[in-house]
Amino acid sequence: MNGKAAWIISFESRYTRKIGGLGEVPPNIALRLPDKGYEAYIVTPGHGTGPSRGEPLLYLEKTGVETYLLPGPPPHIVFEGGALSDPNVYGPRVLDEKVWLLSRALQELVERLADTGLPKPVIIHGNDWHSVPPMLAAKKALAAQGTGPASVYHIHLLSRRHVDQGYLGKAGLDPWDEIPVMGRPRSIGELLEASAGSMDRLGAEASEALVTVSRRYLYTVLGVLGHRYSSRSGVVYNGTDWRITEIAEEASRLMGQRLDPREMKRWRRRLREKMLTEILEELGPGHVAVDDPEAAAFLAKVRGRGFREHGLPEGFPGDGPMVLMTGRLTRQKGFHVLLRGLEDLVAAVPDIRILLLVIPVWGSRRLIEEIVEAVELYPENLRAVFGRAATIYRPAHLAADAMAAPSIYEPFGIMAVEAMAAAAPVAASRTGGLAETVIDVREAGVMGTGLHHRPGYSSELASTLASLVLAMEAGYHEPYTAAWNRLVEAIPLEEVAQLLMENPGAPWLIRSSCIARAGEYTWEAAAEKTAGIYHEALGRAGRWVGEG
Amino acid sequence: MPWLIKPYPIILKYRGAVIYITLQTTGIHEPPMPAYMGVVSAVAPIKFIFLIHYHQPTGQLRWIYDRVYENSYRLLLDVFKKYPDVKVAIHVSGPLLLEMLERSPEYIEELVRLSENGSVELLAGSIGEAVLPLLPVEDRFYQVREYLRVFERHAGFRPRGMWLPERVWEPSLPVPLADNGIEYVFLDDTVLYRAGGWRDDALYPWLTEESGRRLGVFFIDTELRYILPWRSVGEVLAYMRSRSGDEARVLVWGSDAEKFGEWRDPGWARRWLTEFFEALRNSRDIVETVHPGEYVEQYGYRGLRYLPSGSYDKMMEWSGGFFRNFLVKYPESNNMHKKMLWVRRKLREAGPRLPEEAWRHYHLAQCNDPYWHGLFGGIYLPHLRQAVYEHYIAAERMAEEVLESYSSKKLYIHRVDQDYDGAKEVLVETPLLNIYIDPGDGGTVYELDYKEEGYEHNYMDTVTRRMEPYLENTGFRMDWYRRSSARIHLWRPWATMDDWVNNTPWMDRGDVALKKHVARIAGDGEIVLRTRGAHYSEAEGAAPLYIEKKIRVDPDEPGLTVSYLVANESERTIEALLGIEHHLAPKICRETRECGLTGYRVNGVEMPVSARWGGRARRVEIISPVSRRLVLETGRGAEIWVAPINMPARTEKGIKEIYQTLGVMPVYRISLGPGEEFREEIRLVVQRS
Repeated sequence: MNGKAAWIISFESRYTRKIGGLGEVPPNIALRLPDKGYEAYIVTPGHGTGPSRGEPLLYLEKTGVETYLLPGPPPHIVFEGGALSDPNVYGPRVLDEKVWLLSRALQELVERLADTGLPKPVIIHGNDWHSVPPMLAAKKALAAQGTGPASVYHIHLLSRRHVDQGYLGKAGLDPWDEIPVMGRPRSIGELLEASAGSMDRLGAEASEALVTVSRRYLYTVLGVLGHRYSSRSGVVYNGTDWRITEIAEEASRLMGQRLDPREMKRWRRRLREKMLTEILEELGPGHVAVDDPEAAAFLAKVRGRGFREHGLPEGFPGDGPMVLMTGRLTRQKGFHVLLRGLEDLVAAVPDIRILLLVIPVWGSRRLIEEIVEAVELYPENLRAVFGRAATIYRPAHLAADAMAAPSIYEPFGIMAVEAMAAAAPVAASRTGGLAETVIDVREAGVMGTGLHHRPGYSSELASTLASLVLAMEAGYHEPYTAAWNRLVEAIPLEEVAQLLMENPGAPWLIRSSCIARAGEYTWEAAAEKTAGIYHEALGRAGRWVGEG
Repeated sequence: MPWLIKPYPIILKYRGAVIYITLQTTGIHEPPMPAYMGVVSAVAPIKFIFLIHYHQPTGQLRWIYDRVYENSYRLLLDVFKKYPDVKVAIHVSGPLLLEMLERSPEYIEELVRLSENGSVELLAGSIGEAVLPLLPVEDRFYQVREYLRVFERHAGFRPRGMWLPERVWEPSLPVPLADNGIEYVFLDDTVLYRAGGWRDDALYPWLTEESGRRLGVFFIDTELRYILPWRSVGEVLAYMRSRSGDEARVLVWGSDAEKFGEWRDPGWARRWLTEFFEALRNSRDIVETVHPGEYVEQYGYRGLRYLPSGSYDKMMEWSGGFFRNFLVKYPESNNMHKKMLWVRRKLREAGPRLPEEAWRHYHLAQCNDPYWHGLFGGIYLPHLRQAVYEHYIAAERMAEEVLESYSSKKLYIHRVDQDYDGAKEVLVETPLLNIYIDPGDGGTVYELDYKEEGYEHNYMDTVTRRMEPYLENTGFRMDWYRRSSARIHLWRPWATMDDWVNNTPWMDRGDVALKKHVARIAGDGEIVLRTRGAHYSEAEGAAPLYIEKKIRVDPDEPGLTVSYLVANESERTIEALLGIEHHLAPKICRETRECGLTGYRVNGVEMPVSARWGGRARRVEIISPVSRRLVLETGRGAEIWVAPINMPARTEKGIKEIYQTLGVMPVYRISLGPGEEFREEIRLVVQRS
């Protein structure tokens, strides 16, 4: 291993257990940091995966936690035992217990770091509020050894979590404990007071750098936490490793024939038809994983219109313009906005096919019920796959004519970038990262990659989605024929219809723009930016860094 | 010995003061006692505007018109002619003016003659007797302009003043009125009081202003309106004299002509009026009748006033303080109003090629009577509602013809918030039919317009019976849902026709009757309404249901077919009497009472609308001598309940059951096991031959 060591604390990782975007970002950045001078370790609870995937590293007697090393790349230090082994990553009944236990175990690990042969980190990089106490604990333990690492607090999603000293005490952080911040020691009590109990503000207060995932979201973050952190704030856009060639390869396996991404126009519609009618119909229980036990129990009983047994979808009755929507099943993602807009959407495009690939999480039961009811009421137009459906996930993007991203708020919105990587334009709410990654066709013409609507506005979502799918559908028809004319006339947004009238090739040019736009969001760029922020953070940490 | 009592007061003059005493007696053998006595110094005769408003609504039954004409209008004319020196102001409403010009033009000629010789001042109105603030801004102007055009064509001049329908005032009205050259209107004094005016302020006309347009306002005296003509002439005069003061004081009585001869017997009315006019003729030193225009010339206006929205005291009570509330209280009133807006769009789109007649239909349909209800009829008079729809539909058809709406396409399906409630309705339009569907209200059909020329009719012109103040404590149970069609009920197995008609509580054990449905419009023009609901049982709780209604409309045939699906998604059996409720309106013949049968035919037997029928049948035909036949046909035959839905409405003659609509409900005794489905298809078609 070369370079300075960095510990990236994250509650999820694609190599252990992934729920949302957070499972992708730390490991993907970590993977590319060695080239930039940092040996990055993902520090994470195993949630029950450690023993099967890692090698035992050290048993921590005081906390009763077992640590494992996943050699990587990127290497992971995985903590197992007690609550940390509960497979429910964010279940509210175990989450705090996980935070406390990880914090105390991390302190113990630092104390016994010499026994492991692992290098001492100079950077502690926390991700979201769950990692704040562990980040502080690691910093405190390293400071006690005379090493004052710099910390970077990375907000992927603001929380409203507030805590008191009692909470931090359970994490092994006493008010008189001191940690180095910006080159001077500060007590936990002082930091807690300065942050008024806000976990996110505590993370920022205790760190040399505050990072978030898009410029628009940074304004939101600073608005909530306070503009006093602006001088040490930065943006690291997430990236994607999705490339159309690889997605096409995956889709080729489903289609049983090679799909050349350069000739997408020839096969994309066939892939869509097969996806909507056959592939969905063939999904078996083994293809779909539901982590949340409550949701799994509920889904086991779901049947009826649009569903086979166990909540598995029936195929659509036929082909049609396809919309895809993915994500964790939370209201933040705007599933309810889409459901509210269904009537308008179906009225505008009667044969529209909307496929939801959704991940139930704790507390999503009500939303599942709403979606099940909507599928029953719109059996021609709506299907849902509840759970991770790895075999169809990426090919579904390639089959889609448009992606729906109606988040109420969205720090970055990786789903939009992934859709664009698969040449699917995005109907996105104008919020956070979505406002930046998706370029509105009404402003940029064929250089655009989607259409924006105001967050929460179902009718606007319906008209943008309808416009996108009808425009993309027109791309499959000979321009100015009766069928083409019918599609273009039905486009609700006049600017989009006008664009097609002026340039019938617009749909495929927009798809190309999508691919190009997604190409700008690479993990390489994210790692480069992260390394720069580490460097600045170390500079702010001053004399403490590297001593000891 | 019987006492002879002068009906008007004894006047004594002493040193410039006037002492007046009115005598009254409780019986002819009882000595008279002073009822009113007052002293007024330096009193001037009070000016008196006697303003009589003639009105028969659009769609009035011919025999009612004839009766009122004979009993009231002729009587009034006789009196006016007999007392040409007693000045009277008269307003003839637009619909009545048009009717009279066609049927009794001599009456209008006589009024014009009386006007020319100075007895009568004729006032303007709106051509449809529409409550102007309910209308789109431009229509407010055109309603008055049309009245003036028609009036001027026959009278040769334009009135200066105007009668406001139902005296409904909103502060925006000076603009359309002044732009039509109207100088003054008549409001109730309560409007002035709400603006902070004192009682005596109402004895003078005031000016008001909006956007730089000025309008004079006379105030009708509420107290006088309540006693004239219901109390003795003497009491009326005494009251009038009690309001005397300076010479500019003017007391205004403004009310319905029909109070004289129609509300009470004509003999009484003739006697009372004659006595009153005689008294006016003989008491000029105390009461001086004037015309409003003449008054304004002589005394001008008192000053500037800004007036809040309002009307007469009772109207404020009935409407909850604001006339537009009627559109909220009665969905059917709102329905007509929003039909107006929908038709208006087409008329405007048709532009100058549209025949004038289309706008005339439109304006007559704006006649206020069926849009509200106070004590009498109004929205509960089916022939008035029917006329409103006839006129709107005729106007709509004319616009569609000009626009050639169906030249390239014969079926339109619109998703619009037609009733302005925030949720979208589905409107289906073909060359001969309009079908309005409300997914939000149980997935029901609430309007079925037939557009053939000469047969225009809304077959679903119904009304929901509301609790009216005069029905409290009478045992009346108001309707708990709108009386529209294609509504599914899951009645208790032992429910009866009476339970349905009279709203026996807790008989419908489902929640689907009121459930919001989602509407999907398929590419081929099929409309699918779906919802999930439940059947409730005291013992076994809720049983989930899946409901689907597929509505198909053939543009070449005036009809619709609804396929119903009720699926039991529960683990228990559902026992119920499944009813699919329809409300259908046979077109009422308004010309004579002897037009022929208005009612229905079932199993070969013809029944009047007043008759109930229950039994097994395949179809029910809705028949009328003045419309095409509407056939309701079930797919597999059913027990069918047919019953008139009557409203115990108050009329001039007391509370009477008034027929509103014909309820037709196929009912099916179902026992749906888990997973089982009920299916039925019901067709409604207008037969053209």
